[in-house]
Amino acid sequence: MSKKPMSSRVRDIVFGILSFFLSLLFTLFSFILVIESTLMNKNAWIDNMNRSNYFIDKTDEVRDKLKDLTYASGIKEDFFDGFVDEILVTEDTYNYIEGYFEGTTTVIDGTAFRQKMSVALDEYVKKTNQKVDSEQISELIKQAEHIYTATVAFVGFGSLSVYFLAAKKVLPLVLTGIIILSLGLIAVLFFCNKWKHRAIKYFYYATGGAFLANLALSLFLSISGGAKNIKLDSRSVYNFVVSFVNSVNLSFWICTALFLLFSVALYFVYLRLFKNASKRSGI
Amino acid sequence: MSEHRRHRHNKKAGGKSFVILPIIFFIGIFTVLYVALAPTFDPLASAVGTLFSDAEKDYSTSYKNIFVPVIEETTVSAETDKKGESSETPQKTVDVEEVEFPNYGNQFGDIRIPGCGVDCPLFLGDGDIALRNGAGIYYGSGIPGYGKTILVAGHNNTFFNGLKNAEPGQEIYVRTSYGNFVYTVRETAVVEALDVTAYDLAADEESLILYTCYPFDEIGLTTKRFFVYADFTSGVVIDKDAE
Repeated sequence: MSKKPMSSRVRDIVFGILSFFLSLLFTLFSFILVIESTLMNKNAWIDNMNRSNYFIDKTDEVRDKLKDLTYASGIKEDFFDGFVDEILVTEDTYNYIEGYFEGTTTVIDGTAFRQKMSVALDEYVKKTNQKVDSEQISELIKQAEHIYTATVAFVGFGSLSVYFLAAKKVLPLVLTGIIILSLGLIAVLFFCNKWKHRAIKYFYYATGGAFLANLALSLFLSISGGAKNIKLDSRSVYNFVVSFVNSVNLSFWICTALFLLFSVALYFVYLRLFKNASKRSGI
Repeated sequence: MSEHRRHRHNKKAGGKSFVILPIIFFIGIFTVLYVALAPTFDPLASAVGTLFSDAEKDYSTSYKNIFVPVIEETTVSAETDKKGESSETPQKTVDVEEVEFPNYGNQFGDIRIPGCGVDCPLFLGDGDIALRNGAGIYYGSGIPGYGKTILVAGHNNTFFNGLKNAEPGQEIYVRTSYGNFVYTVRETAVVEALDVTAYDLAADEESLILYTCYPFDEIGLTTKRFFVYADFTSGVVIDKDAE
């Protein structure tokens, strides 16, 4: 701290501006942390899928779409029920998400489905003793595999992959940068104020601003209903997205609550330190 | 001024700044974020906006049925007698305003070919739900009574399996909420699935074309289609001048 004291007004303005930047950093930190813990977190995806009954709904959707194929192909309506189950859909979805996060694939691998269908179809033909044409059969398997992979995959995910992976790479670095800058600002505010209650006051302003910013976002998401009115063709994806946005909203509410807690705590620390300072200065 | 004396200026703890400054910071934070992110945020926000509607999407797989069969000679209010120019038998006409034009996916009639055993609901549009429940009119073609080609699809293993018995001269009955129609089978043909010369949707005469996959009763997806061509025989005429 400089030996020559700054005038009170200039000091308040300078520390006020630093406090504002600290508030901005806190807000950015909470926003990025929420994105990192939800959108960029594989486990959050899987959790929300389980919570929204994604795999059960998706299996029903796949079966319904494949059922339409049975009407056109002469096989029995319940043919696909025999091997298109929740386990197959879950495994393929897990691998798909795993590969997507690793940046190794953006498509569903239909190999297991194709193999199971070939075996099931062979048995079915033997059992029913119906006329078959190998070209028609391979076209049927190809079409069924296409329906399966297209239904299990997320629409538009392939084209978003580049941005997703770039963001996944950059966000931890940004988060680290924000932490370093925040610690720097905290150190400046703390050590440049001899009376510590003043430093605490500036921290309070910063956490208070971040609290209001998080509160505004949480309220917006809650009042607007999150993703309730989103237009998606797939019911299972709709339920998943709604559940996901709700969990993002919950994360924002947690951040809001934490900043509120910090603000209240800092306020009481400020009061205590102010009293001590007043005693020491004889007020 | 010593630290001791400077501090004595603040007699009260807290004050208005404890409320006002966090609010100013909050406004400032969103202003800074908006200014910084506006170039990317605005197009992104408008793109995301297109994904949302005013109400929750309806995922039910049911369809709207607007079909109320017309019992001949009873729907007097919508029908007038009009002499055909070359025909001696009177042709019934229906004012276009009286017709409830179906929306995509609506069941608005049924189709019956007694000689083939075909008897199923008729939809506008040949999507999955329509073909799961009956036969569907290709959305780019006409509907009965409008003087255009009507192209109807159905699955060969369900509702249109009976088309394998179609023969020239057989009558096809189509009923809708605005009138009943009869078509007579002229010919049948097997063509490649992608052969667009198999039908003419721009024709000025009303005709009915039914099609399904071919061959019948085989397992697998086929690359051929079975077409049944039928000419308009009788039925109400939509009076478009009434518009």
